[in-house]
Amino acid sequence: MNNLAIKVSELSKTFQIYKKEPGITGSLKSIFNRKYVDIKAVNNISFGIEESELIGFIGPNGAGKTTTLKMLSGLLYPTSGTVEVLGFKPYERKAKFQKQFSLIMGQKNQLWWDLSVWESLMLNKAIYEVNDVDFKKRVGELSEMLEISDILHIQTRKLSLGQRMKAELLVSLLHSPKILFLDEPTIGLDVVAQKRMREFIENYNSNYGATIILTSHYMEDVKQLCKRVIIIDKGIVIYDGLLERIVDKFASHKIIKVDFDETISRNDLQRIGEIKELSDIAATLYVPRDEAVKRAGQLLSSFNIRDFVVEEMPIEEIISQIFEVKK
Amino acid sequence: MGMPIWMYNEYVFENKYLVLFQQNSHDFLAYRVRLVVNIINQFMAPLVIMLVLTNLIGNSINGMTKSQIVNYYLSTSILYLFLNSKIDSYIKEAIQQGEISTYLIRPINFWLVALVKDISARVIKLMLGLPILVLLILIFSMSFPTLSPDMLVSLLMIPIALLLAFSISFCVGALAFWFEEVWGFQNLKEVAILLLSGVVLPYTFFPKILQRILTFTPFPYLINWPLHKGFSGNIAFEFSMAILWLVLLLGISAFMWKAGTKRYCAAGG
Amino acid sequence: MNKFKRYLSIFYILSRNSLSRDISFRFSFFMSIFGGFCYVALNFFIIFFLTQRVSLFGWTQKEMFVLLGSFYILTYAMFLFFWRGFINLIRGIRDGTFDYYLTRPVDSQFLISAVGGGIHNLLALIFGIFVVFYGVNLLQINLSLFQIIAWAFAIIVSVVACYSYVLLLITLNFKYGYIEEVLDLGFSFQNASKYPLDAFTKLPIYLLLFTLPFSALTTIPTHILIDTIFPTQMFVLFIGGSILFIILVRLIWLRSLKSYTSSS
Repeated sequence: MNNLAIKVSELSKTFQIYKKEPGITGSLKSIFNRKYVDIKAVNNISFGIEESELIGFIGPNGAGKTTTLKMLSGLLYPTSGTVEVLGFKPYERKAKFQKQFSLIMGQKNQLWWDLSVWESLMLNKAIYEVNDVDFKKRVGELSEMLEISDILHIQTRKLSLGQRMKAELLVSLLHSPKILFLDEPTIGLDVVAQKRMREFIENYNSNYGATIILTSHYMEDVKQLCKRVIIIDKGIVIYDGLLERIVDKFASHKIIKVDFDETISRNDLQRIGEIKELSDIAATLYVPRDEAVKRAGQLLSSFNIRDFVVEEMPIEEIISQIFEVKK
Repeated sequence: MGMPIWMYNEYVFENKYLVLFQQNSHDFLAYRVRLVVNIINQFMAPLVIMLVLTNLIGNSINGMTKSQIVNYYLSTSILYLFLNSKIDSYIKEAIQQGEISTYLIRPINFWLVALVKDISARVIKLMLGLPILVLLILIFSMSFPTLSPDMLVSLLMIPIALLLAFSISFCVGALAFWFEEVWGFQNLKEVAILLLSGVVLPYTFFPKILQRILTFTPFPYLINWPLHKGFSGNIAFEFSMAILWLVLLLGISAFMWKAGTKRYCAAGG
Repeated sequence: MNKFKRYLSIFYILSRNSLSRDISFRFSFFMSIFGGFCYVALNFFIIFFLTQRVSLFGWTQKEMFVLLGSFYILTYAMFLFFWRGFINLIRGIRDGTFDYYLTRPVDSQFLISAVGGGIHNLLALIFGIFVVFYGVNLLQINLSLFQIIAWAFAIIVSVVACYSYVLLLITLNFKYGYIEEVLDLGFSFQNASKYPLDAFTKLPIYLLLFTLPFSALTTIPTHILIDTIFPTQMFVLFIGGSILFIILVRLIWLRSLKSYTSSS
């Protein structure tokens, strides 16, 4: 446990925002008198991440995921608490530290818009002081993994969104970072591209052993990639542990999907459980988790069943339920 | 397309700032039409000024002959084109749009990035401007404008003027760390330079007392310092004033950068 | 009529938001008023100085004041109504947010144009109107109502023509990529309107295109006011030519849009 790549202890970040009243009179008032409001984006969070882990931060918008990532990369000063990455304090922004990680945010990219990807590569080569041998190797390997070897000399502005994202990845990973911070990596991509992106991240983690933290609000990303998740809401860590345990810990219901051999009335079925979907001969029911077996038995004995299956709640639903409760 | 990737390596530099310099030039030259527009831009202002002045009826104003005036404005407008720094707009946008973040997380210094960008832009404009200057001189069949009696001295003045303009521009752009909108300041800076650096009007037309006061400000050393033929009579004094301001303003800009990034990183990254 | 009302209300909302936004930037707001004042004073000073003892291309100082006033009106109307829209447009073409305008049920040319801003521009505009009539007063001309209306009409046409010219330059961005310098170009063209037409008539043909049209925008309305006989021929040519030009640019704009949307 002592080989933690990332150590975060009681980390907090408070922002000051001022509220402006709408309209012209509001603007005039704001010239003289401004009301500032404290917003705690991150509130006393602690966690540790070992080398080569692949972790997901999940949370709704505004939960504090991006803020946390920014503090881990040194873009933001914490208000209180400690953060240590690879033994460095990120906010000191030492060159030695910066050469070991990469932050990839969807909106802000570092590629030259009117020049080719190659030029952006050359720039990062110089910035991170990558030698010629490593450079050739990395560019060769990565461009093959990302399938973009043939577009390196095209202007960035002429590439499609998917190609641009891949190019961004290539340029950002040139210096073989030990740690990768990925902020919403699949946002805006089509289904196929999303799948490819996930595959790439998975391969990168297993081939190079890099520690990867990704934030996302697509459950598919997390389900496929992360064994461990940290759920953040309103700046607080609600859960930190294995993904599969979320079901055990938080799921309130199980789902019974049933096909009937006879037509069923709503009233009869309502005794068994909460009806989510109902047609003449099929239904989806939600039953309390600890009574799942009992209710299944009732179902079997009361009706003519052709087929049925008992499932866990989808993780997306469990998580959104968690956030609902918190409200 | 069939060649191995590493054969496209055209770069000689390893230093990140030199690579940046090269790439900034590439970026600027990426579109031919843009170059044409730039060239037209460059000759518009001098052209209009020249037209107006060559048609002034009357032969001398305030001790300057007509040809002296024409000479002055032609040279000044060319100098203005490549000594005036527009880096304040770039910096302001980099701050407002967050481009600064991409530099903050990499081992590279944005202050130097801005300097390299500014100098590369002005070098290119100079290279575009020289042919235009020659063209204009030929059109108006004039003698080539002379700089200071001592050409070497004038050449020394140019890098100082370049850096001075950069540091002032940088400071104005860096105000975007503290103010949400800075184009009011940018406006003010433009007007101040036009007025007080002798771009609009030669110093000989200012009241004597104002001329004296101005020599203690950085303005005389910004644009047409190489033309002045020693307006204060004392080259040593001018150089020491210019260098003093340079050191001071460079220092202020570096300080603003540090303080600004602290604020930026405290408030949102 | 409903369509007109709708556009009017959109215009009102956009203007109000713009003003709101400007004021909320506090210090910069006051700065810009001061800066605006400096530019106005700068131009005034230039003209005043140039014509102090000599006449400029046959124009006396008092006549130049009237021209200068028209220049202020043209320049600051451009800044007040259109300039911010131009900047947004060029950026929008580059980073794709322009597509956002195209999907709205409002004419795109209207949307990018209606965003204006800057109280100092409004103040300078009003100042320009004062300068015009100050000059007229100095020249001791008695203006007829007809002259004033004709002048106002000519000025409005000038503003729209100037706007069209800059818009035309901007359409280069659709085809040739990001060229923000077209705005600098437009601005220096605009600046040429400070000087009367007579300054440029001697130029070789290829330079005429860049200066003559702009200078005409201020010179001809001024002639309406200061000439003893109403310059009917000039007036008709000017209004006719400008309107044709405005329509032409509108067509070019629509055509550029078509080719733009079909390629991206």
